[in-house]
Amino acid sequence: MTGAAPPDSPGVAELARKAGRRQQRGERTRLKIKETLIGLLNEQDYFDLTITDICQAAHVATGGFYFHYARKADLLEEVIREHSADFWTTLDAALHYQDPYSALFHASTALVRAYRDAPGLVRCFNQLAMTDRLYVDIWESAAASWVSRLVEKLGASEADGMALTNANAYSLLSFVDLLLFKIHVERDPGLVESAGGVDEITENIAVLWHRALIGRSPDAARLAYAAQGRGV
Amino acid sequence: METTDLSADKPERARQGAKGERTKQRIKAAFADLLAGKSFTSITIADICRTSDITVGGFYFHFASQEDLLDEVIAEYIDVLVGDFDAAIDDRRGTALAEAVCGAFLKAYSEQAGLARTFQQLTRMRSDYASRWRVASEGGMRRLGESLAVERPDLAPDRALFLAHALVTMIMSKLDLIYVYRDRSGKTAAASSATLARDLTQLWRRMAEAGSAG
Repeated sequence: MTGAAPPDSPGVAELARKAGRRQQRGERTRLKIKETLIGLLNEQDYFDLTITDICQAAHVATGGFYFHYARKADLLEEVIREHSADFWTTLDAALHYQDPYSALFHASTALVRAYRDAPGLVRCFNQLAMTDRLYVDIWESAAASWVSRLVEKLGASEADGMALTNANAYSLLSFVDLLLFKIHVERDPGLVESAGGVDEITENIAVLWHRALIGRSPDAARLAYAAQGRGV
Repeated sequence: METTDLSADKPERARQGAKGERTKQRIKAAFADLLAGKSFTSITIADICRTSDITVGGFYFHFASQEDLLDEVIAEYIDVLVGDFDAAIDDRRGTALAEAVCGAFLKAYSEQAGLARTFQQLTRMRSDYASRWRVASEGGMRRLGESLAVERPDLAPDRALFLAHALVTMIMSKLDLIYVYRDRSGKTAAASSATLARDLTQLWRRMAEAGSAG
């Protein structure tokens, strides 16, 4: 682009700057729309939300919306894909911890955070997964790959009693997923009250996960809440 | 569902009532059969009438709408499951408790796969169905917590209830994978129900027992 313009032309550098600013502004608008959707989903069902609702809440003109997205579904798909990518990156990082309990504790932390921070998005994702295979696939392929790496890691450390199969490990990730869904999305009162605060939930889920996968409790010295009689 | 103006003759009315009840059962059974192969959102009243061999008028005599039918069928499914869940807890401890509770859920999912799938879809999609299950299973969940606390005196009462919720969630999440999502990756390929019962019981025992920290 640079060499093509005559040296005395006022246009090229200026145009490039303008285009750059426009692009930046466009990115900001896009981001604003996405953040607004995540916020609105905490209050309202995805299927009841209109593009007008989103534009009003984001202070974006409807034309601005359509410049970025053709349909509400396209916006949602982008938001879910980005969130999933971040989510699995954090879960992958948990696998770098050497001992199984640390890995599961960090995975539990990431899961709790994802559900607590965007319950509306999680609800919406689950609703769509019931009717649209695309969303099941987004979850399934990443989950299956993560679980097989987890099993590899744990398999190297120990195995007693029940053989640790990928199928069991996969279903245990679904267990954590469903339990957090009931706590943060459904907000089942009996469960919420008995679960305690976020840190207790994180630890107790990691403990149950550890027991189910490995067949014994983690070292008691590492458990903060169990020591206070608030463990599971 | 008999109407009083049909006849003043009591035996006749009783027969009509019994016949009406049979028709109603036939509609519900046909709907349950259809649910085994299709999603509830894609089933039409015409499908139901064809499968149960009744007229559309006959359908509307018994049910105000398809939603009404869905509602009744799911209510019955919940009643049976909660009844089995409650019965499984009775006076059981340890492995017997684990086997009985896992068995109750396994029975619901394996014998009524279409209804089980529909029920799980509805609880994920609609909060009214989720709260129905919650209300129906509350008592059982509390009793399960109390049974677990007997074996684990170290558990605070609220944590025993949390553990009860966690164990039931573990069972449902595993059965959901097999019967609801029908995972295509083969990671959870349908095992025999004996294998499934054994796996569920073992996972339960592992989670419920604090065990020795190695």
